[in-house]
Amino acid sequence: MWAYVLRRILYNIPVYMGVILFLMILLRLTDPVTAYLGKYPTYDQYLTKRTDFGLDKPLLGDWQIGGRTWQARESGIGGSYLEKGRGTGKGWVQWTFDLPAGTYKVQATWPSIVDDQGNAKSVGEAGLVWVRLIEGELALKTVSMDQTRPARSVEIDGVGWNDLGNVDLSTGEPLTIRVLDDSSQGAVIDAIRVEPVRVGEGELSVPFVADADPQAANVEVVDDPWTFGGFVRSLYDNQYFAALGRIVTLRFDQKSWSVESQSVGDIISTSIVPSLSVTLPVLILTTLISTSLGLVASFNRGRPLDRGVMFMAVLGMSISYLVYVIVGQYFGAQWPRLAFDFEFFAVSGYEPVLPMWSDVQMHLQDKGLEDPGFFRTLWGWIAAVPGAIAGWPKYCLLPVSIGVIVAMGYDTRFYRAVMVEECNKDYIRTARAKGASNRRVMYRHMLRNALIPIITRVMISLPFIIMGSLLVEIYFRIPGMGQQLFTAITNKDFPVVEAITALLAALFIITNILTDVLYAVVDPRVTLK
Amino acid sequence: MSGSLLDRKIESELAEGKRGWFSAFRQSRAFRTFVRDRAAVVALGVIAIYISVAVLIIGAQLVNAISGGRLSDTFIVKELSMERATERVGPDSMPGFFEQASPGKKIAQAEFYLTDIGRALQRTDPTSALEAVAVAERTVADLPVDQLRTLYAEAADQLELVDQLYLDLEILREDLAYARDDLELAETDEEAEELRAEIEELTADMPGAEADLFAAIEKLQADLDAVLPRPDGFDGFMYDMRLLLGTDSQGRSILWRAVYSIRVATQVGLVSAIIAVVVGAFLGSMAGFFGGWVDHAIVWLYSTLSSVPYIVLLTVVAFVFGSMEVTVPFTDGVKVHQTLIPMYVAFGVTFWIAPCRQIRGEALKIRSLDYVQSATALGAGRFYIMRKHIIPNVLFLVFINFSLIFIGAIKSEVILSFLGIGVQGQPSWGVMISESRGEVLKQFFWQIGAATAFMFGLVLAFNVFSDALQDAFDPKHAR
Repeated sequence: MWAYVLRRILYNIPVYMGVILFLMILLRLTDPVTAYLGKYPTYDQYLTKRTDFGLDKPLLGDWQIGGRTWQARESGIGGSYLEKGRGTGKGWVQWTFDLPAGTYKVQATWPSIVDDQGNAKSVGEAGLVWVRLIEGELALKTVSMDQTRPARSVEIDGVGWNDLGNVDLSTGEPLTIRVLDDSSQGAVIDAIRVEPVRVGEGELSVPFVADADPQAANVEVVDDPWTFGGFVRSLYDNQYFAALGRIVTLRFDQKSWSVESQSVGDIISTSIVPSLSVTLPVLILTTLISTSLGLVASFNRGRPLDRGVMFMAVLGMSISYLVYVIVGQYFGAQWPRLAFDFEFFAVSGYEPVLPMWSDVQMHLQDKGLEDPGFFRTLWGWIAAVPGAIAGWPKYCLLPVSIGVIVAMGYDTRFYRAVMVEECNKDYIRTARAKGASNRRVMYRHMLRNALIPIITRVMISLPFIIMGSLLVEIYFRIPGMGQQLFTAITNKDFPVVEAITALLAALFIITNILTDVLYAVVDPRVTLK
Repeated sequence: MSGSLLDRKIESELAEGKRGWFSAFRQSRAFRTFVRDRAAVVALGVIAIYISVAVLIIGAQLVNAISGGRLSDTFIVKELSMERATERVGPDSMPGFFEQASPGKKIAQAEFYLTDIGRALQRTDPTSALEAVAVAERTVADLPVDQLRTLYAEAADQLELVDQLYLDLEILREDLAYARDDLELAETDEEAEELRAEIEELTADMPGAEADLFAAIEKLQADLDAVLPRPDGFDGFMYDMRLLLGTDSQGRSILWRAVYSIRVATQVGLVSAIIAVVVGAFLGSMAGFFGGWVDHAIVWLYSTLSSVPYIVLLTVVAFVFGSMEVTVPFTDGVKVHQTLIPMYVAFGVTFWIAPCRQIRGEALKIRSLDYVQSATALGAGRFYIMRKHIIPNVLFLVFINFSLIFIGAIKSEVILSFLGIGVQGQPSWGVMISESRGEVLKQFFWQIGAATAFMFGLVLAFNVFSDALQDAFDPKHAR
């Protein structure tokens, strides 16, 4: 048996690795950093978000052998533009100008293409590309260009330009305009335009355009070239293995992006209990009720009772989940309040069903204990449990009943089908012939043999039951996993989304293995080959 | 080679035989079992009605698009267009045919119509402004402007009167409630006696005030009808139909929206089910039949995909494809946003797993059966066995999964629309149900009721239908 379990675990490792890779690719189809920060972040914000979650590293090996150098292409202003794949700010292209002291306006442009319908779009499609303005050795500022769209904020002589702002030159040092490759997909640059705004008398006052021409004297191109060492490094020092490592070591200490004070682990650990306080009762109640209904129905096969139960099940299955939730909330909470002043269920909201450890600690500290110690806190926690559980029906009973009603139709039908199949088997006939009572046949013979499909169904629904209550959790404002995941998706809180989905996938695979093991325990016929 | 030999033999047998495929189908056990199930036949009829409505809507829109809008004034094309389902046909949140609106609601409705007319009358060119005041089939009476003005003034005065009466009634009610509260708190008997007398007096006033209000409202409606007459004849019938199930919070016809949603539901269900079933059947039979590394790869693929939480998959796919533009065929590059394509992709990616799994299992089983083994021994080729033995025997799973996925897609559409990543820019049952959240709290059930009822019909029919299919095709399926 152990060899079998081990083999199952080994088999599931590539599956899980595939899941993580698939999820990571899916979640990176749009650049997570720019999606979260919007169009106008500062360079510091951008760098912080990119590096603290390791998004500057390649996903799985750096395969961009050709894309790591600036390529000159023939098009655009002055006949050429420069283009480069994703990078981390180590490569750049820069212009140096000797300019008299004064204020200058700097603009940049990048090529765009116009499709047959007249919609222009950027060639780069790179998200944000950063330009650093430097006077001598001193970096004045770093500004972003949104290269998902054509440069169009100002139009001069039929060319769209993107404003990079004004610079004040006072020291007489040369001005350097450096376009960084610090982008998750790539960067393009066509030309730079410098326009004097306020300069000394008699000095140069004509705006000029500098093309992205690598041969020009004042243009310097710095590549971030492909090296074998760098490539080998990218094979193990990458986002994919970092994510796998976090899961394997259960280290969820990255900061959430939208709620700065919380780590991903905090969010997950605080949302598990609310989730379970709804989903666990739903799972248990549904299984109990629907197996007994299925048993009764299959025993009365073809009689009105069976037909009635099945008819109700099909009717119940044909109504949308959302309708149950909306109507259930109204008739469970809102309507009794209006009609009879009866406030048993809360319309929405949640209070902890289990007391929070930190709350108990704080409570004890308020009472004068400096350091409550573990056992004292534990005692206080246990003492607080009944009070907390007493609040459960108010917030959770209504969502739980809705969940049970929704799930019951499907489960009753399934369990009935299972039992009916068992009914037709020989051993039931034998048991009857032996003179076993109906009750004995039902509970001792049939139910026991039907346990395998029941276990499968319950186990398979375990990981999904956490997500399954998503709608109920959102609607009744219960801060469980489902709601947290949905909030994280809408807030583009990337670390939380990745951690929760990876965790759920892990849970799914663990239950898969457990199901196989349970088969062996329940049914001696199952040979674990 | 021997495969083609067998092939020819069977072909010649078929040529000699008296039965065509259709009569063979009609004499099959499955067909007879299915027809015997009366509920299933009814369900099939219901499905046919829904699908023909959807085809009609799509057809009308296609005709409109191909003709370049030249036929857009034709009755059918006009009634089945999306504009009809999204235009205003009356005041907001009007209840449907059997529910009487509350007096407050009735006043608000009259106000809705009168405001527009009043605004039009104040224009410098009232005649054309009045022509523009048309709510669905209801247009301003064909009278001289001066006469309309007097009629309007009359109605407006009546509206003021009604408002006053309504206010009075409210005050009366409030007084009564206060007096009742006070009575409970009364300390002395005298005080209580006094309050009791007051309550009696107020209660006696109540029916009179109510009757006054109702009479005034009736008069108001008569006045309004004089300015803005209800259409009669066929127009009147259409107008009544539009308001049959009331209006939603933006004054749009709930019936029209619910009917139009059949199109979206059928489209989403059909396309997702076809994608899922075709992909699932292909991969499943490949995996089951060829075994080996093909099987391993396909099993790995679906285990991987099914380990990703369904909602995450849907959300991300819907998010990535959400802003996609599609060029409409038969037109000069007309582009459409907010298509249903993200939903097709999302459902296709998630729903193919179930048919794939089942068909793989069935194919594995069939492959080891004696007759397939003997066909192999006779020298039949892989593709021959696939075509003659495997595919016909797993076909029933394809049909059953098709109808189950159809239901799944329709129901998931509701949830996605609620989460804001489903259908956008057009009515659907999901959009209607999620829009009715606020209405339910105000005890307005028409929108959620209509959407649920329409959806219930289709989903129930499909549920019954797929049950019957299972009974008919799967001899082991327990009944």
